[in-house]
Amino acid sequence: MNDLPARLLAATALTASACAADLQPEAEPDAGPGPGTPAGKVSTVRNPDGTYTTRVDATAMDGWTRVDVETGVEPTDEAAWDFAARRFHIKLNGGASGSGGVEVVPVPGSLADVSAAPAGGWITDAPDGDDADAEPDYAFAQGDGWYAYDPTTHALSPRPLVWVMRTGDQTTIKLVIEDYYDDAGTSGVFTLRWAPL
Amino acid sequence: MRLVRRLRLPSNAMVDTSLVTTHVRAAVKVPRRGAAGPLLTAIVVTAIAPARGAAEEPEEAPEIVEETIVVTGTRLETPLAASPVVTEVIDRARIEEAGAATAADALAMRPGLWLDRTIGGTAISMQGLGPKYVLVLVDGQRQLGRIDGAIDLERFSTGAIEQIEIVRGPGSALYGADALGGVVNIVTRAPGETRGELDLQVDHGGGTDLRAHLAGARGRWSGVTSGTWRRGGAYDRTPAEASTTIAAYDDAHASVQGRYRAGDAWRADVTAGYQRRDLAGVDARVTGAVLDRRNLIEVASAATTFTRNGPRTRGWLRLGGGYYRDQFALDQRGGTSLDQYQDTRERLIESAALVEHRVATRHLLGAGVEALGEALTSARLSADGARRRGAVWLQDEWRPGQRFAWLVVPAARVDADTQFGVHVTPRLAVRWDAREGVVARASAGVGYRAPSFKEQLLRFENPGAGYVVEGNPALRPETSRSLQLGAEWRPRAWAWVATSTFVNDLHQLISTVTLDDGGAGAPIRFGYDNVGRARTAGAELAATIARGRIALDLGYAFTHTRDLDLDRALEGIPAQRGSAAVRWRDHDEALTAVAEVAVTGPRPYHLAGAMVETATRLDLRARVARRFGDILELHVGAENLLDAGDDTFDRIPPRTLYTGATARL
Repeated sequence: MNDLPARLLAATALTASACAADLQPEAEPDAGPGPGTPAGKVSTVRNPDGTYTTRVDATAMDGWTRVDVETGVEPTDEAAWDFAARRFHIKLNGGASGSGGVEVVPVPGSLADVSAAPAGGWITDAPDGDDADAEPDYAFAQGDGWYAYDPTTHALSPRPLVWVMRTGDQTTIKLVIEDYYDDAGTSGVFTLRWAPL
Repeated sequence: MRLVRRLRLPSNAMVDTSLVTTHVRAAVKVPRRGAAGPLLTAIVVTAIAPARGAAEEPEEAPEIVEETIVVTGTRLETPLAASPVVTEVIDRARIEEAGAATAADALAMRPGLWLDRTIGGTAISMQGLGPKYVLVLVDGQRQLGRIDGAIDLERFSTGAIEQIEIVRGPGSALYGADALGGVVNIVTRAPGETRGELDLQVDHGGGTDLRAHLAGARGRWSGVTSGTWRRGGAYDRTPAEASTTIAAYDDAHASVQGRYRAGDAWRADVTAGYQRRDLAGVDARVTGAVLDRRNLIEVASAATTFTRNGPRTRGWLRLGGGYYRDQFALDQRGGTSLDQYQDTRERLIESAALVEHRVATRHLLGAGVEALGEALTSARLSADGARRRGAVWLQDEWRPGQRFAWLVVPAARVDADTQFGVHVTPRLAVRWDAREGVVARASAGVGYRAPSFKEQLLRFENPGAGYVVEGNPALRPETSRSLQLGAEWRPRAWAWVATSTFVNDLHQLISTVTLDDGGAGAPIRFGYDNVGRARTAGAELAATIARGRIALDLGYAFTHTRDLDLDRALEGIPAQRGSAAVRWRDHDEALTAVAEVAVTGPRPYHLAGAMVETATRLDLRARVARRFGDILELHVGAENLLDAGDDTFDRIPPRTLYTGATARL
């Protein structure tokens, strides 16, 4: 088919379509997570019941947001981290992902159900297995993983698991992933509730 | 209704090819009422005047009659009553008396059709097959802008529509791709006698519909132009939630057609149209996100058609094309990470020619060629989509037997596509005019649907949810085999009954498949493959009784669908649907009143592995119009009188009261 008619038609149509506004938004800086998310990629507050709530902004498509359990913020020393998040991925500073020796045990239940670290079942990030990607098999994704995916709404919801985490210096905490979305519904913003064991 | 006045001669006088083809002698005799039309609906007209043989006694004298002309079943203008293919017509009179603002409104109450509001707009399903299996045409031209497989029938304002023709069952032998469930052809108002119309309607929800239509002729030249502007606010059935049930709309449409006649046999038509459709709504997600959604859709089309209507040979040549642009924007409230902007552009160039020639008395040969090029640009595709297709088709209308009571129509079309190669779609149709008032039809055919660019080239990643959807360039067309049987009976001049059954077997259906279930740290990968099989079967019954000022239409459709791989019903198709319409018209047609009801049985949906069924839905609408003199007509009406609908499966407008005025010159 001759391309000339197509070009003429396209030109005519483009002329006609000039009648309509262009919805292309103006470029604006990414405002990051919405209301309810404090400034900084990692922030921690102490709750009245003695537990802590940590918000982790892992919205960046590339680059990990690291978390130091002891300080509850993003460490300035890149080596001093315990776990990190990027979108829905969570990796440990241990196994295939780091040299910190961090391990976890997923325990079904709520935060109040766990009062001591389990004797066994510790796992950490493993080298990439036989799957589609080239990333390590993260501990938080092993088994059923930390989230359930709803194919109807395309939403992720945390499974009812308590992640008992043991850092390299033998600090042990129990941690629950409460939410993966901020108040504006932006994904990649973790709300973690945790307490020392 | 497209009516033509013809000097009717004895049926064996070969004056007009369409008459010769069908030997129609008893045609529709209806009073004309300006631009309105007959009291009898087209479905009644369908039953009138079976073809009779050329061997009948010649008439005493020529008679001037009016005939309903359809084009969809043969791609040539053909008297409805003589069409070898069952063609259902919703004419202008029916559209006006029902108060239908769009093609979707005009089709909504028909049994056997199912119109559903989907993400792609108001989409039509036919014979248990979803919107992507229904070919939607405007004046025989393919329409661009399938969203999730569906053409939004609300795009088409009735202001410029003369009639809507529906041919059920596979039409690929004539139209090629996508005509598995059937064909809907929107026929626009053609140039003709000088007339003008201005119509204004408002509803209690603030909606406004303004239309203008002007036609005129001078010598060999004639032309027609139409314009429509419609707007309406968003509707929220559950105000406690942030999301809207129905988006606000602001539509503008303009079209123009010019015609030049060169003698009695030749004519040339040039058409052009432009539409702008602005939709604005609010989405609320389970994650808490609230997003302002906007679609700005523009459609432009143009075509030039040369037509010849000779005594033994007729045909046409058309060059046309279309352009479609959909700007889709999402604006997240309180954030920007979910903001989206997608600019989708489609282009279509289509050229086709058809020739029909009578060979001896019993054969009418038709042949056509078609060339098509289409392209799609979208940020969601891994590459721009482009393909070209060429096709040839042949058809013979053969009338064996002494009484010309049988009509056998073998047809076949061969498509050669740059993507999926050669595809052949044959069909055999038989019509038997058993006796006066009784017609039986049967057809067996093959249909196919070409893979969409989205299915071939999609590359969509949702990093927040951890999944990827990938297109499959190696997809083959979906195919169907179909058997259709039907009969209609007109026992009295005022009564008509028709029944039909169908079976469609579908193969190589394109389904979403899981390519990789993710595993540790990996996104779930979805893709497409030709793995599905399905079957739809059903029966339809329609009846019309028209006595004096009142007419009653009844319809019922039963549809059985099965996904043969998953062993479950196809989603969203009602197993049962019934409808009734009562129409009243004064002798002088000054007062018309219509009440229509449709009962739609439960529809199955499969959510998270479990089947849920919608509630039975009852749609009721009514309209009364009163004409004052020759110019002014006032009307009042109500849509969805029972306020059916919900916020999940039946996202339809609420009860709406409207009033308006029409001025005709």
